[in-house]
Amino acid sequence: MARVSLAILLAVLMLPQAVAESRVPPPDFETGYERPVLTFQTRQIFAREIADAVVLMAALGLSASFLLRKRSRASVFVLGLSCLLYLGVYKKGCICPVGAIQNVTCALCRADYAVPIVVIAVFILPLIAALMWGRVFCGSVCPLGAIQDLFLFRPIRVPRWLEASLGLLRYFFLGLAVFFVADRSVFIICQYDPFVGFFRFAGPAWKYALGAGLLGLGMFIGRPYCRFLCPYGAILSLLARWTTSGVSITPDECIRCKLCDDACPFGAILRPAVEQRTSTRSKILLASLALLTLIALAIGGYFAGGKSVAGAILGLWFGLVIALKLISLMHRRERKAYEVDHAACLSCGRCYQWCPRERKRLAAAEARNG
Amino acid sequence: MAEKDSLSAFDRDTALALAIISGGFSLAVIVALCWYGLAYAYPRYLDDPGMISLRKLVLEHPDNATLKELYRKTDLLRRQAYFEAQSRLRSGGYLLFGSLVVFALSMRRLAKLSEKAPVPPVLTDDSQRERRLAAGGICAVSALAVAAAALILIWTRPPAPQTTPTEGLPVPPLVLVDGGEKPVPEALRWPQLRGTNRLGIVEAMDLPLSWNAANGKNILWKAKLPLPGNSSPVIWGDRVFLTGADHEVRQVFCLNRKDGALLWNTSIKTAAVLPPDFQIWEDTGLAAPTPVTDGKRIFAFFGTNELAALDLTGRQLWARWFGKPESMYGTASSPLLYENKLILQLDQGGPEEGKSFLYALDPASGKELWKAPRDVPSSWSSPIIAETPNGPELITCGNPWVISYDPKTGYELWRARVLPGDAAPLPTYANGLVYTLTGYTPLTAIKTGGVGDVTDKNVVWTYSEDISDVSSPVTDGTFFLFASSTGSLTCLDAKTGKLLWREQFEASFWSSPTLVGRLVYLTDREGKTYIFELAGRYKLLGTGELGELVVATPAFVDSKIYIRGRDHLYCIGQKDVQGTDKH
Repeated sequence: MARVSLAILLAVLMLPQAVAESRVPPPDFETGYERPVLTFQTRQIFAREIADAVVLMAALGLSASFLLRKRSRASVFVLGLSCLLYLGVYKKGCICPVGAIQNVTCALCRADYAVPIVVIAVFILPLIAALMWGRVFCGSVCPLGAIQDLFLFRPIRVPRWLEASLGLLRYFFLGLAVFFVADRSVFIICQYDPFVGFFRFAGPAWKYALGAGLLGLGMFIGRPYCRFLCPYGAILSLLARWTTSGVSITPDECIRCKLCDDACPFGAILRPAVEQRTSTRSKILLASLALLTLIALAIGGYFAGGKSVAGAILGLWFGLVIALKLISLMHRRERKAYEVDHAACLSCGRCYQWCPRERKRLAAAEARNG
Repeated sequence: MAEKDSLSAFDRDTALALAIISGGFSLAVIVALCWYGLAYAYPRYLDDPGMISLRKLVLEHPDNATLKELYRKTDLLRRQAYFEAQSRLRSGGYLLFGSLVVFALSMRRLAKLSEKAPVPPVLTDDSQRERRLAAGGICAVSALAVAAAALILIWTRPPAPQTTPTEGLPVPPLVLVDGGEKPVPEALRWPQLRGTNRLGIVEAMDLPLSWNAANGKNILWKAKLPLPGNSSPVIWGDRVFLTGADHEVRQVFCLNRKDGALLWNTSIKTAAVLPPDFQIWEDTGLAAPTPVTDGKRIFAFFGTNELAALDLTGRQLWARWFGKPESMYGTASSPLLYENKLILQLDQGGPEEGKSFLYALDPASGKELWKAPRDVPSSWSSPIIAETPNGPELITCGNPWVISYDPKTGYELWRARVLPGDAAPLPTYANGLVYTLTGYTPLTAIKTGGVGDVTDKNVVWTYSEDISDVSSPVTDGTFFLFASSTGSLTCLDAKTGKLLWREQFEASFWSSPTLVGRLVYLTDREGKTYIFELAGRYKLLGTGELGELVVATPAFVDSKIYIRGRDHLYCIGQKDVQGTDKH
């Protein structure tokens, strides 16, 4: 109850500041105010931007090291808190790979838009890290994830079917974000960033309410923005599927104790399963359905977007996401042990704490080290 | 064991105490911030009845120094209170952030201490059921998302060109006052705001050095205007075009340049639907943008975001509406014609709202030729074409960017971060330098050329005193002149920015100076025109009096001056001894 109240109060709290953002017209007469000397951007600022990219790279490296070598949940958490303070509060959320999606899209769609090299680096570095080590950016570098992790007090399990359904929303949001940049030059990821108001102590009231609402929800449902809405998370998920050296619950053999299944608040543990195949008839039926969905959504998108090609492509994207998700349900590969779903794993290291093999291994390692 | 238990209890108690203290503190800060924010931090300058009535009183009694002083003091106190409140709110925000972090950490600790080991789930072979549920869930979520996305796309779709058909509209009688097809000589053209080149410069002509509306001295004619407006007169041959508007109608009117007779006035018809609560900034009005003509058509833009094209007989050809205006002080940007493109700078909303665009439209149909998004908030300036050594550049001013575009394609050429304020005056150009200014922001001379952000490379000089916030500057490349609403008139060396002279008048300048040969004509809000030479020293050569509020910039054609006052259009020229037009 206290937590829910906190969420509501957070929303109320920010209202006056949000209202106070209105502009003040200049006075009708001269005042004694002395204007500060105008300063111009210098090379120093560019050097600072490079330094920010280096910090991001270092944080990604540390995150991977804490997670995969040291295998320490505590270190991951402390790093997350540090990144929240530095990248979130100090840098005001502005070394942001999530928002960089839009800059990169804009540069691809408009000949007159030049995207700074630092922004490209900020966009690409976490993607490379995801290919190498899984979603280490989400685990302890992203301030949006860290603030949600901080407020995760008593996680409850989201049913797997619901998790699979809601997980589509981030792909839809990604499509919309790209469409709005390409077609209308509007950056909706930044406009609807729920947590940036907390980092900057400024923003409209609805944004604080959205952020507070998500934090309130996040006290019980682990990191709802990351799992269901984050467009960058959608890209990272796609890449993290291909990682070969991502998180493993234990480097030793799984004894199928099932503890990790309950320990993961993000539904990222895959259970042992027998292989499941689909009949050819079902495959043909599904493929036809998928094709029809694609065509219908492309046409719908074309007209809804004001007869624009970008609208048609958005419709195609929606169709593709739905079709692939439905097709993925038809097939299941065999699994003999509990495994990490790298696409869904947020690299928090919580599963390490409860794995009996891992505890035993860590205890032995500790004893060896004296 | 007992010691461990007591330690754990101590840990729990400490965490609980911290959570209660930090939670309580957070709550107290929240309440304080809410109360303080609502009580002090809302700026009420625009709608505060006390300030409005006080301002009205000051305007009604312009000579009452006590009232003026009272207004200034009240305004200053309110501003101080506002910014103080802002500062306290920010400090409160930091306090709250800190206390919430402590709260979150102590709650986490409590959760950790009462954490139970995970329970192995009871697994049943219900994969078929789960698959069915997942398929259903995916279909339901997808259907909702598709519907929501379609609604968002339709809802946020930019307004399509709203071309209004001409059928059914009243056709005004054709009035030809200059022979119809006869080409109009250059000397009889003032096609847009600030003349042919939009720089406020015109060849020398035989103009009077004094006039007076009270006794009719050198006033050739005076015509009552049908509707109010702050737009400036535009002239083509023997026609003078003006715009006027109120909440009900937006009109373009045409007067005979010879005698001021009203030839026609057309109320434009568009698809505009203005909300009932739509308000305008009184000083700006709904007809602040000056129309532009190519000699075949006249293009008028209004504060309602309505753009209309009319032929020279007043027949509406097409019209477009750009959606509900979102600009604090109204709309003032004047359209520009360049190589068969009608260019409109429409800056609205906030910098990240995606509502500001630079449009190039086909003058024949109003259809979009190109559209450049602008990451600037509302502005009140108008674009100019600078004929630079590298070719023509379309220069625009917004907060904080001066952006140069290729007028043919709309591609951005360069930008400089030099205007951190409400951009209202037009930029100007001479000898490879673009000059930009607005109130409370240094005047900046920027070398043209370059790519991307040229702030640290191309700024040649800046000047910070008495900068104009409404009136646009004029320069011949040697001298740079600007007048401010606080009554100062400043002349700088155009190449170095060095102050040459400065004069202070008991006046306020909104109208822009025009350089006629070597003489500058500058009209203040009281309708008094100051005539002086653009030189290294200020020397007044004459004055003209209208006794009527003037904020528009005059037009200079055929050795006559056309000045728009609040209610009238004046034609001023040399009278011979019989009192008739000397020319």
